[in-house]
Formats: sequence, C-alpha cells, structure tokens
Amino acid sequence: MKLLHFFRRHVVCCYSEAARLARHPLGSLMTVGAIGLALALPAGLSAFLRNAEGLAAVWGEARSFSIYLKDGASVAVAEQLAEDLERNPAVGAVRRISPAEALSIMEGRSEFAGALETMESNPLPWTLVVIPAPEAPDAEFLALKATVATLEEVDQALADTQWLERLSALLALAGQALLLLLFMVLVALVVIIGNTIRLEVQKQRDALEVLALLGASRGYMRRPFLYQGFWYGLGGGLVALGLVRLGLWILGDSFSGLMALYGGDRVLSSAGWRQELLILGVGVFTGWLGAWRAVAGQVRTLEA
Amino acid sequence: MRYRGGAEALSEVSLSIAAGEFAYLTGPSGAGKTTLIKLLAAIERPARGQVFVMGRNVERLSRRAICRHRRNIGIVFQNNLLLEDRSAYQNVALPLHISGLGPREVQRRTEAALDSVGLLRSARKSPRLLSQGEQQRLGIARAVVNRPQLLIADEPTGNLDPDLSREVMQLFRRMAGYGVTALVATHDLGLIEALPARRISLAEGRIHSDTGPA
Ligand SMILES: Nc1ncnc2c1ncn2[C@@H]1O[C@H](COP(=O)(O)OP(=O)(O)OP(=O)(O)O)[C@@H](O)[C@H]1O
Ligand SMILES: [Mg+2]
Repeated sequence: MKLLHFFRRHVVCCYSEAARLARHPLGSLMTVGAIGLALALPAGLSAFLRNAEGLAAVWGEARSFSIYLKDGASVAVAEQLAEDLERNPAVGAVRRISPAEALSIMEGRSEFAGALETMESNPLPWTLVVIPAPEAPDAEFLALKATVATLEEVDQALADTQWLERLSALLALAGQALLLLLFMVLVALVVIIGNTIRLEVQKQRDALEVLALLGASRGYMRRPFLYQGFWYGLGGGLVALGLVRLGLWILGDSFSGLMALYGGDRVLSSAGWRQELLILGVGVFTGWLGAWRAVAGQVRTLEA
Repeated sequence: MRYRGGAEALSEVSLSIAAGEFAYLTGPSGAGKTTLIKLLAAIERPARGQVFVMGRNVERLSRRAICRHRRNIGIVFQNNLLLEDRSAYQNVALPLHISGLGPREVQRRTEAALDSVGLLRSARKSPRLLSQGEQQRLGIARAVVNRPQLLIADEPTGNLDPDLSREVMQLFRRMAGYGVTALVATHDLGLIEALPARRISLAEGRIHSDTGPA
C-alpha cells in the first residue's frame, strides 16, 4: 500500500511537471529542441559510421581477390578455372566478368568513356572475382591466391585490400572521435539543462522555503525539478531520434544509388531499436543529472 | 535566543505548556512572539538553553527528524506564506501531500479544512485573488489540515472581523478539546476576554506575566 502510494506520487509528480512545461510551450520546446540538436550530432555520426562500416564490408567483399587472365584467354578456359576454384573449400563464390561486361562497366564510368572509344578492340581480359568462404582462414585463402597467380593462363592475381585497411583505420579513428564528441555533448547538455533548471529553482525559491517550513524533505523538494530534467532529456532524445531518422531518410536514396554502382543492394540501415533506446536513455540520464546538479545544492542551502 | 548580528531577542524565557493545553501568547510588537514560535518549529536555534517539544529536544533533531517534527506542528504564519502559483485547494492540501497521504484522504481532509474556514467555494482560486482575511483563513486551514499534535498560530486573526475571529478561535479551542496543544499569539484583548484561557505575556524578550485561565 505504501509502495503503491509512493509510485502514485511519483507518477503524479512526473505528470504534473509535464503539464507545467506544457504551460510554457515555446520556451520548453526551444530547450528541448536545443537538447535534441546536440544529441543528434553524436547519434547521427554513429548511424553514419555504422553504415560506412557496412559499406566497407560490401565493397571489400571481405578479402576477395581478382584474377586477370592472359589476353585472348577463351570462355572455356575462364569457365574451367572458375569451376576449379569453386570446388576449393576456401572459396565461397566466383564471379565471372567477361571482357564485354568489363567494358560496359567501364563505359558506365565517365572518366573512361573517352579513352575506350578510341580503341579498336576490347583490351580487357577475362576477370574472375574470387570471394572467400566465410569460414575460410586467411592463410589458406592467401595461399590459394599465390598458387593461382602461378597458373599458366593467369596474368595476375590482385588483392587490393590496402584501401580497405585504410578505410577501416579511418573508421576506427572516427569511432574514437565519436566517443569524444559524445562526451563533450553530454557535458554541454548537463550544463545547459542544469542552468535551465537552476533558473526555475531560483524562481521557485520562495515556494521552496515555504515547503521546508511545512516539513518537506529534500527529496520532496527536489522531485519536481528532477522530473523536469527527465522530461527535457526525454523530449531532447525524441527530437534527436526524429532528426536521425529524417537524416537517414533523406540520405537513403543517394545511398541506394551508390550501392547500385557497386552491384550491392544494401539499403541505409536505420539506427535500430537498441541505438534508439540508447539515445533516449542518454537524453534522460543527462536531463536527470543536469537537474540534480542544479537543484541539490540549492535545496541544501534552504535549511539554516 | 539571539539573531545573527542582532540583539538578544529572547532571554531567560522559561515556560512549559502541557499537552492538550490552550494558551495565548501576547506582548507588544517586537516582544519576541514570532521568535519563540520559530524556536518551537526548529526554524531558529537557541543560543543558550533548550527547547523541548512533544518530549523531544528540538536542537538534537536530525535533518529528517526536523522535517517530521514540522509535519507534526500546524503553524499559521504571521505573513501566511501562501504559494501564489497554486490554488487555494492546493495550498491547503500541501501538508498532506508532503506527508504522503493517498489522494482520497487528501481530498477529504482538504475539503473539510476549507469548509471549516468557509472557503470551500474559493477552492480553485489563487490566494492572490483572495482578500487579506480570506488569505489568513487559508493559512489557518493549511495549519489544521494535517491534524497536528501542536498548533501554533502567529496572530491568526489580525485581518479578520470580530465574528470570524471568534469563530477561528473557537475552532482552535475545539481542537484543543480533542487533545491538540494550541499556542496562539494575538494582540486581540477583546478576544482573550471573550474566550479566556492561559495567557503568556512577553515583553522585550522576557516573560512579563503568565496567568492561568481566569
Ligand atoms: N530575522 C531576524 N534577524 C534579526 N533580528 C530579528 C529577526 N527577526 C526578528 N528580529 C528581532 O527580534 C525581536 C523580536 O522579534 P519578533 O518577530 O519575535 O517579535 P514579535 O513579538 O513577533 O512582534 P510582532 O508582534 O510585531 O510580530 C525584534 O527586536 C526584532 O527586531
Ligand atoms: Mg511576530
């Protein structure tokens, strides 16, 4: 029964603080909007990074390598080699790219268009893209590449993973920058929310003094302000969520276009419910912490 | 008792009020009536001497215990101390709310208290929109709503007409009849004559006289 009352008091307090904020919609919305913008920054960057990582995986097709056959190698030779490779347990798949296909891909890229028109015959060789089986160990796969390179019909076997490594390193760096950014945003938010609520506490100071004279505990006096912080944080979190979703939606089309260029069919992934929950949680936590910082000291000075 | 940077506001005041007793506190302005009340409610601390209320040494109370102590006392403050951004009803319900009572109990007691001072119809108004006398009655309703064991009123009838004053005083005496200890600071000698009781008279921070009920 007591517990029930306890919860009821909190719910009522929580609700009435929302009502109080709603009574000054403009000011509250501006605060919530500012909090949302600040939170959207790291949240958006995080969503971007996750998609970039996915993109890198698609582009790199993990550790795949390309085999360029000697000029004039026939369809039969290419097919034979491809089938041999496919039987190897380390190989997941082999993509065959005929000279004609390669040409049409290249023609699609404006920078080559002019160069190719001047040529009489197709200078491009047969290409096989070898994609490893997911469980294949690196060493085995690399050994395969070395063996293939020595084959008579093969011109060269190239694994261009350097740029991928660079990209991965860059993404890792960006991930660390994200943490730093998150930290700074959190500190800024605690200060912003703290100041907003400090003003409110000062406005209510006379009322708080009366409450103290009537025997209100510190917890009782703090409670409404903590719930204000809670609402600011939750509201800001929701705004940030909306902004991230909006951003992903706007960028979605260009992303799909980009993926199509590389033969992928990935779509821009949303933040995911875990991430979204995290954004809300971070918002609520900073709101509450800011409020606590603002109100705890003030309430302490109320008692002589 | 000495205010910070001030002269001694109360000195060598020694008195005791029995549980369930009704007493007036009188004396000219500046005599120290409000100061005595502040000592009882642990709002100020004595520089020397001790204050026992309901068997407890007020000075020794912990922070939490002071909260509980104040909840057990109903005080009508000299300047009412109403919250203007809340309705009359919310003002009166405040002590119940602070004590953590359930909503039904809060409503029942608040309405009863408002009714006892004739303000039930103004329940939704802000104290700002009430007359001085109405504000004073609101302060009284707030002091009695939590059924305190000790009721202290600091000039509760200063803005009330004679009829209302007598009614309020009778309300206090009725409460004393139920076992509530009541201490009422007042200048209204006519009222004291009409409803005689023990009268503690202060002058310049000392007890001038302490006369039993006539
Ligand atoms: N906060 C304070 N700081 C310093 N001195 C104070 C303070 N409050 C009251 N005093 C002094 O203490 C003395 C007693 O004041 P108190 O308020 O107790 O008088 P009172 O009997 O209630 O008077 P009144 O009938 O006018 O309300 C006065 O001399 C006053 O100047
Ligand atoms: Mg006084």
